[in-house]
Amino acid sequence: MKNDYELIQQFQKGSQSAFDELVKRHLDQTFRFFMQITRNPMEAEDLAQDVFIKCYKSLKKFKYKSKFTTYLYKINLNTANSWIRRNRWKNLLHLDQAPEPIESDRTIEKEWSRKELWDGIALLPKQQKMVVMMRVAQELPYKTIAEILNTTEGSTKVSYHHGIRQLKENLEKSK
Amino acid sequence: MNFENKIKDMISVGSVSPDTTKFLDRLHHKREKQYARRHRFVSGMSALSLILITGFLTFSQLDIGSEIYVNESTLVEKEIYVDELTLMLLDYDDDIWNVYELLEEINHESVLEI
Repeated sequence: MKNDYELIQQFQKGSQSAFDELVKRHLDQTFRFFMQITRNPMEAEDLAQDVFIKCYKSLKKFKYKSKFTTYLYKINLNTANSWIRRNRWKNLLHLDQAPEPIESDRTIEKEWSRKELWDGIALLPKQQKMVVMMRVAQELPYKTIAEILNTTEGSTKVSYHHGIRQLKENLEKSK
Repeated sequence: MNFENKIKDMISVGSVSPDTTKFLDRLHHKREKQYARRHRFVSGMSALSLILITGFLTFSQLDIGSEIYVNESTLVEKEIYVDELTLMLLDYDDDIWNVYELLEEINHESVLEI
């Protein structure tokens, strides 16, 4: 089985099937990440497609300085960030009047709605927002997050704890 | 349950995975559509730029004025023609004022109409 680098090399030489293989390999994780944010399969698929289209365009210049997954997480994060920002504006302008889908898992005690949670995350400073998203939605280890954000593990932990505290305050204010 | 776990539970989606084949089909379709749209936009902008540049160059050429389109020799020929006409009219007509009026009319005509 070829690793990600080998598939990227093949893609750079013009192999479309190598790219498809790369997508198949990382689709579940990417889709799941966007499902956690949007809770809407259509929207999650749209965002996942945007991510892989960005990959398709930029992989031709991939420099092999970092893992492909690190590269993919970065794109996921930027795409999610844009979505959250866009969605927040949509909520503020009351463009999104559709009721939230009813959650199938009713055992979870929900003190805040999902919309409020992502609005709260959107209000965090950029670094904290990125760390919280990666830690909570993708459950990435601090080391990987630090690699993605080009920072130290210690600073990532600090950002996470500040972010979570700030998020709690934001949600309590909105209650 | 602490706050972090509450959030994790809130966003948890269970096991979800899209149909890979359909996803890939839609992905490539969307990518090609985006590529075609961008290509159309670039072509449109290039055509617009070409039209604007051609229009500007044409306009700036016309703006130089009409005098460069008038041949200098035409003006000299006109003077000779008017001189000869004056002499001829004076020979044939006794009323000097009629000749004067005619010459005035000729002098006030546009150069291009001669």
